[in-house]
This record gives sequence, C-alpha cells and structure tokens, in this order.
Amino acid sequence: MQRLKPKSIPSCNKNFIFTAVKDDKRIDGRSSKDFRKLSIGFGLDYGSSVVSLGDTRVMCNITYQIAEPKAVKSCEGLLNIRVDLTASMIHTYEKVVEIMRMIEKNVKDSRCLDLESLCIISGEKVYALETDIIVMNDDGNLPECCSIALLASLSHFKRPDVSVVEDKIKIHSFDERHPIPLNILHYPFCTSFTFFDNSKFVCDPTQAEEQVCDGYLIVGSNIYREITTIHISGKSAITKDVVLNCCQLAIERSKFLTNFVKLVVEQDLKKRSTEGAEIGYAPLIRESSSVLCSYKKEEIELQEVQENYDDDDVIIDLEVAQNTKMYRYASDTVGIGEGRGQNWDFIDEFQENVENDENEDMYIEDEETTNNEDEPDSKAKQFSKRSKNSNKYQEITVEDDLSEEEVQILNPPEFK
Amino acid sequence: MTDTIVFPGFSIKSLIDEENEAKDKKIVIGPGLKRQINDVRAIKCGILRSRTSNNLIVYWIDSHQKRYVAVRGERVIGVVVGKGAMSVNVDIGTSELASLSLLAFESATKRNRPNIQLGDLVYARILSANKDMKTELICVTSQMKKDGLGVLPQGGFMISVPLRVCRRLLSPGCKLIEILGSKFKYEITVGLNGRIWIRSPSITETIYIVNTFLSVEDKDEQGMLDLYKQITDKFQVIVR
Amino acid sequence: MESRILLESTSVKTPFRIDGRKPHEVRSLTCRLGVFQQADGSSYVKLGNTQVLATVYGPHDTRGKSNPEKSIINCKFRLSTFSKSTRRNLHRDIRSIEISNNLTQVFDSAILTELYPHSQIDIYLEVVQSDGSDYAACINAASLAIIDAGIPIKDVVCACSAGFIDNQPITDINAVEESSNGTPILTIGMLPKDKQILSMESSGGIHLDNLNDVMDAAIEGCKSVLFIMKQTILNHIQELKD
Repeated sequence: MQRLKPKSIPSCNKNFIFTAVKDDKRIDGRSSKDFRKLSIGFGLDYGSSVVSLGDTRVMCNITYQIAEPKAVKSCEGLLNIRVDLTASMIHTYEKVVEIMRMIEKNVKDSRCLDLESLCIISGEKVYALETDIIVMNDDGNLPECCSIALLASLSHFKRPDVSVVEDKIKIHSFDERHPIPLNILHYPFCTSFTFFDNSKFVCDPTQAEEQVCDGYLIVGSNIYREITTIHISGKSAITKDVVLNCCQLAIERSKFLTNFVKLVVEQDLKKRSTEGAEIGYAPLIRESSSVLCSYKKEEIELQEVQENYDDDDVIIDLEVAQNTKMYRYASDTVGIGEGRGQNWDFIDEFQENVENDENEDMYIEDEETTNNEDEPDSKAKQFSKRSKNSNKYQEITVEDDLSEEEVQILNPPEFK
Repeated sequence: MTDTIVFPGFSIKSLIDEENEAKDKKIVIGPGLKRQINDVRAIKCGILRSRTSNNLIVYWIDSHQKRYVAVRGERVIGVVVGKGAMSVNVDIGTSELASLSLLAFESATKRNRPNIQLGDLVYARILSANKDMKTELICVTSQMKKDGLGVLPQGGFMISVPLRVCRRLLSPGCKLIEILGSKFKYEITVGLNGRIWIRSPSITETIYIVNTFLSVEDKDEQGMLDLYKQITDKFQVIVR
Repeated sequence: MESRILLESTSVKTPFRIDGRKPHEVRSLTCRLGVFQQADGSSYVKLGNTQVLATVYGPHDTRGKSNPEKSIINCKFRLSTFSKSTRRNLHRDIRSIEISNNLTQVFDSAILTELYPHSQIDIYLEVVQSDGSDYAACINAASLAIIDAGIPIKDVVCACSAGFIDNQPITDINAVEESSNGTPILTIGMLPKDKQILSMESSGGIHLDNLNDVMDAAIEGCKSVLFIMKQTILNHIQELKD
C-alpha cells in the first residue's frame, strides 16, 4: 500500500483502525499479537544481511578498520553504528536520531558484544567495526527490523585473524587462516508495541498503524530475561502494569528471534562450505521478483570462425571460440555467451603486510588484453583472475567469460 | 503495432500513416504521446493502444504509474487538509493541493454551506487542471446535480493503489466489483487518482474486501479469473 | 525556598551510597519560578549538584507551517560547555537531540495543545551544571516553567531516575553512579495523579524480576520531587498575591 503524508490521513482510516483494534483485528488480517513474516538473507561478504519483516526491508553491512582505541578504554575495540533513513522520504531528522539512539542503547549500552576480543595491541591498535544500517523500505516497526538486521550481521561477520610479531601486526587473509567470528554474549532484540485508546496495544505495527497511534513503547530484551532498553513516547495512558506485561511479551519474541537468527546464520555458513551452493543476494532476488516480461532466446548458428586477426597481442583460443554460443534476444539485441556464476573474491586491503608470492587471489592489471579498436572500451583496463594452477602469467586466456568477449567474430550471419 | 510495448522516443508516425491511408478520420493523441513538428512520439514506456470509432481514432499508452497527475474531467477521492472561508484545500495525491469551493455542492448557497471537517473524504470532479494553476474541484455535475459526488459518508477505509488498478476495476471487462457484491454487502467508491474507499457493515468484511482490492495489483488475466472463482467458491456460507 | 527530604529506607540493611545517601534518598531539591523577566515562563531547578534553567515562550505565532488542530511544541535541550568537568563543544550532538525529542513528546502529551491551534510553544532548557539525572531535572524544570507561563497542562509532570547497583534499587542517580560501567539506569517522567507514564528511558540491562522494584523506586522518587515542586509553586503564588 502506498504511503500517505501524515497530515492527509483521512479520519475514517484512523477511526477504522481504532475500532478494529478494540476487536483485536488489523487491516492485514493479523491479530494484535501476531508478527509479520520475517526473512533474513545474507550477501557474499561476511556481515552483510538484508532483513524483511513484511514489507519493511532493512540492510546491514559491517566493515572493519584498524584504529586507535579510546583513551578511556584502551583495551576495547570500537563499534560505530550508523542508520541511514534517506530512502524513506517521510521521516524527519528527529526520527533518524530516535532510531539510531534506540539501536545504540540496545546494542552498545547492554554490552552484548565482547569488545575486548577486538583488541590487537592494547592502547595502540584495535578493530573498529563500522556498521551501516540502511532502511530500504519502511512499512512500520523500524526499531525491531534494524535490531534484527544488526544482530544477524554481527553473528554472521568474520574478521581476519591477526598475529603480532614484535611491533608489526600481520593480518592474515581468509585463505591463510580461518577468519574469526565475533564474540556475542547475548542477543538483545527490540520489540515495538503501539497503543490505541489507552490500554489496547498491537505488536509489530505497519506504517499506517504507526501514523495514527496514540503512543508507543519499544522494549529491548534478550533470552536471559534482561530488559536492555525501554522507550516510551506518546499520549496514551501507559501504567507500570502495562509496561511489565509488554516486557513479558518482548522476552517471548526475543526467544523466538534468537533461535531464528542463530539458525539462519548457521545454515548460511554451512552453505558456504559446500561446493557449488548458491550464496549471496542474487539467488534471493531471482526467487522473489515477479517476471514482468519474458523473452525467448534463440541460439544463433555461427557460420565461420577464422583465426584471422591483425593484432598480435590478441590471442584467441580456437576451442573457446568454437564453443561460444550466441543468442538472439530481440530484433536488435544479441548476446555472446551467457555468463556464469560470480567468482569475485576479496581484495586484500593490507597488501603490504601480506606475503605476495603465496597469495593467488590477487587481481592483476592486464594491459595486454585490449580489445579491438572498434570496441569502445578498448582503453579500459581489464582484470583477469590468475588461476591457481596456471603458471603461464603471460597468457591471458583463462576459462572464463572475458576471453569470449575478446573473440573477433568474422562474417556474422545476417540479422533481419 | 498496437498492443506492443514501446519505449520513450518511439515514433508512431509510420503507424498512423499506415493505418490511415484511405480513411479520413480525425486522429486523437492521448496520454503518453506527444506531438512534435512532423512526428508523434511516445514519451512514456508502456503498451500502445488504439481505439477506432465512427470518425475518430484515439491512440494512447497504458503505463504503470503510482503518482497521479490531475486531468480535467476525472473523478477523484480527496482528503480535506485545510479549511478556508469559501473553499477547502484537498489533497488528491498530486504535487499540489487542490481547492474545492464550498459553493460547488448541490443546493449550496452562501448561507447554507456543506458540513465538511478536516480529515473528511470527498468524491469530486476535476474542473480545471492546468500545470500553471492550482487544480480546482467541484462536487456537482454540469447539470448541478449531485450524482454521487460530495462528502463521503462516515466510516469505511481508504486505500491507495497504482493507477492502473483503478482503471482496470472501472473498465467494462472487469467483474470483480459485481462478484464481490454477490457475496458481500458493501459500498465502494473508486477514484482515478489511485484511491479506493470501501465501507461494509462489519469490520471483518471490510478487511477482507480491502485485501482483495490490494491483491489485484499483481494479478494478470488468469489471476483475476482465479480470484473470481475463489470468491464465488470459498464464501458459500457466511455467518451474518 | 530550600527543603531537605529524607526518605525512610525500606530495606533492612541500609548501605550508604558514594555521596552518603541511603538507597532511596533523593538529593536535595531546590526550585524557583519566574527567574527571567522577558520569558513568558521560566524556572530554575537544582537537584543535588545538577542545575537546570528552563524558559518557555508561547503560545506565539509560527514562523512556518502551523497545525490547524493544535499547537506545535518545540523543545530544545542544551548542555552548556562548562557543565561538565571537561569543556564540551557547543555543537548539538546526538544525545542532546535525543533528549530534545523526548522532551517534545512528553510535553506534547501533557500540555492541552488543542486549545491553541495555529500557534507554537517553545521550551528551552539549559543544563548549567551536570551531575547526573539531567533528563529528569529537565522535565521537572520545564514543567515548572510551563506552570509559571500559565499554559494549561493536565497535571504537574514530575520525573526521577532510578538504578540498580549490587542487587539494590536506588533512586536519583548522580554522575559517578551514571558513568560507572554497566549500571542500569532508568528515568520515568509521569503524570502523578493517574500514575500515567509519559516517558521512560532505560539503558543497561535490568532483569525482568528486578524491573518492578526499580520502577517503583523511580515512582517513589517522583512523589518526593512532586511534593517539593508543589510547595515551591504555592510559595510563588503566595508571593504574587501579597
């Protein structure tokens, strides 16, 4: 459903929601204590997750840096949380601050992450985790969704192993030594309750319900029955008993979420260790998008492939060229090859600390693999992955798509 | 060429010339097309459609859009957001608020004004929609009759849908409103600005009907037929 | 007018806190109304060593958009550069904005805004010296300033903070207790007559079993604060009468 500006909400909608809540009913058919469907997906990088709670979708990315610790806490790592609400234009800066402080209080003040394990050299170098929470779509209940995204990312994230040799820090790549997950002591999740007409409340409000509500209560709790944060706002008459009741419900929800997040993270990490499994966002997008149009692609027969080229620097592997398939998608669109799964890998940032000889996952710039002058991006540098078993650094042909694009096809068949 | 997908910049001059060689009909260029010096080009992405009547051929483009742009003569649902002395400001979903004169109601005079409050819904007709001026609305037909226009009754629920859903519901081929009517007793108003207002005696029924209309958005022809079947089959027994 | 409140301790063992108080003892509270001449309403609150000044302007014309149904409440909280032991920069940080938002919410609910449509009420709070419980002191100060300005309000809004140290709920946290690691702290702002909680902020983990006691400690603290505030208001009105 589209979003209405706050002042253009008709009074009939507001009255309807209030009347429906009295009967324990909501617009999307849920009861007042039902939560929406939750799904968590992980990206290729460790620490990148997308969480959708109904239509609310939030993405969280965790990256790390090596930095100096704070003077007061010299043996603790740093955790910076940033929330980005620019995608949903309806929110003011105040709302951004509210959500950011809520998440900060919930995660930082409750000390759910063991920051001392992020220390490398006490007083000098520690890991500084940068967390970026990006709200992609806001359909209500942002605090809960953001906290789930943050905790899912934190439990998924792995940092490189580090060894301190005299005064130098050596950061090992993911291939050298297994990366280390973070040490999370407990999982504090936020739960939102919105109030209508004094004591009636609903869990997991949608945007429409949030806009007309009288007040709201956000509780952060974990499975050890600890209440990490409480935030009450608005006009409704919330008494102490109501608060305690909501805390009970929040703890139940936390139990479910803790188990769910742990299960999903475990499944994803298992997938990564099996060969050929699809990981990352691409399979998720393919499943969830609706196909608006479809095309039938026809294969084009190549009439002739000749080994005829002027540029000596361009080396063509005949076998590859002959096995190349061309597809026709529309009257004026043709594709060469079909593309394969991604085989991108990390670029190690701290290359000066890593022994170069052993590292086979670096990207090199191949000036030699320029395309024909006709192609517009012949000046662009091309990258190719060095295969682990290949010793021929000068030869550019590798078994991936790039070589197919370099092939010069002569005498193409006529297109109508 | 009609009923195919076209991109912005696509020229339909050849199509027009082709189809009108011998005929002497007037050609009307509808939404999504723009006439340039010697050419008529598509300015939106969508499906090109045409309709022929006695002495007219109309061409237009069916596109997918959520944001409404005011067009004269269309009937829309608006929310009253501001009151003035002689007019009210109404939000119809366009970039600017529209103004509705308090005299533009059936049997309204300076002494006898309609009872409109902030937050009320009105079903109005667009009187003028110039890009340089504030849009004007009226709640009477040209014969000064009410004809369903005016302030909508209290209660009910209003939803926002993409524009093509409203057009689909109002098109002659769509039977969804009738089929739902055979099972439920309800009141519905469809505004061409992508807003639908529904009122039903009980809350459960209203919620069901609202969700039915919200689900029309991503259904194609077959999906709609399934939906009709689902409504007629599933609700054989309703406890009232 | 100064009054010193000593609360009877409710537990058998009576350990002393770092400043010599018993666990449920609120610090000495001093309030004054009508501190500034030019503001419509103003107040000064001294809760132990925390000192807060509040001024209220309004209801007045809005500079931009106005709400046809009710008055807009605009609240700004500021920690002075000299309020803590090290000098702070004047720029508004996230914490100040958060407290401003919370205060706006509190007074939007407490003030009868429907009586003044198309207008705006400004509340400015300046913490002159910060020694813990800033938020609670600000709510109290703003409440007094609004009463001084004569703006209709549902009840006298009072606030108090509470914490949990060494298995003991304590009332009215000071700066040392606040900054010590891992102390769970919660602040409650409420309308005392209906026991309606307008604002509650908590950080640090409190176990659910202890939450009831900590909330009770805060609510009891609110009662003592309310007593002093009401006395101050009465004395102020007496002075005006004479």
